[in-house]
Amino acid sequence: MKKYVTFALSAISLLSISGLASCSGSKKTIYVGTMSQPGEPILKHIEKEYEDKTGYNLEIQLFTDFATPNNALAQGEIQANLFQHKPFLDTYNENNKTDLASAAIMYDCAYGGYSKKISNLSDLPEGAKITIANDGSNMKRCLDILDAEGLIKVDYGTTATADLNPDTVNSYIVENSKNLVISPIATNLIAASLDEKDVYIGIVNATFAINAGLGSSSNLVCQEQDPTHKNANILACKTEDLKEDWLTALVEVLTSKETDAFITSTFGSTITPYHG
Amino acid sequence: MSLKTYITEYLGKYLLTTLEMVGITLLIGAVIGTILGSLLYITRKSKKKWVQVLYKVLDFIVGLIRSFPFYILIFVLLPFTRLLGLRAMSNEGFIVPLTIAAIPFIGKIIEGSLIEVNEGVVEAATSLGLSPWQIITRVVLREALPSIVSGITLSLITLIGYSAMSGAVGADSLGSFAYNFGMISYDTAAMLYAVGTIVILVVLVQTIGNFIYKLVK
Repeated sequence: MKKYVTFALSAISLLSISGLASCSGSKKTIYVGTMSQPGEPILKHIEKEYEDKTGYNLEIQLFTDFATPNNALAQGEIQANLFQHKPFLDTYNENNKTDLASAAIMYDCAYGGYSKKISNLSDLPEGAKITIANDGSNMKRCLDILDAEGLIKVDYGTTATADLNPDTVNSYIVENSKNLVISPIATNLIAASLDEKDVYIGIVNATFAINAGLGSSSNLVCQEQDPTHKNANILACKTEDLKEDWLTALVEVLTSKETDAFITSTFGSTITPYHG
Repeated sequence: MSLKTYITEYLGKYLLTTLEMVGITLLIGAVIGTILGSLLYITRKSKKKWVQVLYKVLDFIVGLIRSFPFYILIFVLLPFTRLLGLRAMSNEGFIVPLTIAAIPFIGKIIEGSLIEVNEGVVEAATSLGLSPWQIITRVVLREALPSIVSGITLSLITLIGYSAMSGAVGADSLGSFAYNFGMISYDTAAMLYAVGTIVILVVLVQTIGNFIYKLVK
């Protein structure tokens, strides 16, 4: 038994030494957090160019949900992230007393209501269920689309976006003549929810919708109008890093004409480069 | 995603991080888990009052950690991981909650294996004048070895399952790949490739486990 224990212990120390060795490389590593769509392909596209240009090592770190990349950024475990729009970042800063900043405006994400059951909003039956995002800023975005289409009337009163709560979604709806059931759920499940018997519309990013096979125009029943680009996605960083050279270089390659062309050819009309 | 893209661009990286994450966890977990399991085994039988209290305390802590839903444990342990000087939201950082979850799990399995050992063998060893330490290391652990091997195999497979939750804190594993590139990207093929890889991995682990079991039996 002693032999086994000695073996295990030496194996552990060996592993930790090799682990440490791999950490202490001479190149500085810049960690950028993102999600699999659409951030990952874009960052992957610029990874080599950035490394060649700056001599830094770029590490793309993938997160599965919206709640964690800002936490990692605030803790200094990643140096930047690309997955959110400004209202989402503001909400996070507000709720967590952090001071994360937008380093660059990156692109507009088409956002709209998709359906597998109707092709026109006027066909929406009484009491139909509509799934929307369940985080404050995106929930507001969804409700505003429904309001703009005249399906419901919303009034947030004095509640700030950061304080909007998906559990009390009905308290923001002041008029609902069709008795629609508005149901906030996790963003990455909205497209899948359209297979449920009672869900008529899901409001979600076009990237998700297209991946889920909702790309045909007959599935799109309403679309967000965002003339001021307030919901454009941003590259976020810590405020004190805004002037750092690694960040300037990152913004430069991410907003280059070449990257814009890549985004357009990869995502078509769902993601449109926009840099303010 | 095409199978070729998966194999050339992703398979190596995600397989390696999964193996590394689960492997290191198993090594540390098996060592500390064996010590913990032996301690539970020794203390539960003792007639001394303070040892009984020690058993109750140990058993409570083990139960406490085991009842934590793993997804919650990951987030609860973030500050602890940072205290250790690791990036909590990273591949190496994820090893910490995985190990903390593995230790009581393996400890309980080892304790169970030790209890199964025939009392007669222990009594014989005691009458030969062996010390409690000698009884544990030379007799009980050795007797229980086949059962421990199948317990460790079970633990390893459970850990591979747990590793799928690594994506929550930005760590990479085959499971998080299946979720990121398969589930939320609505790419069924990518999901099947990753899940297929996990299935092969689990079958392989089970086969090797069974082989070692036969060897030690």
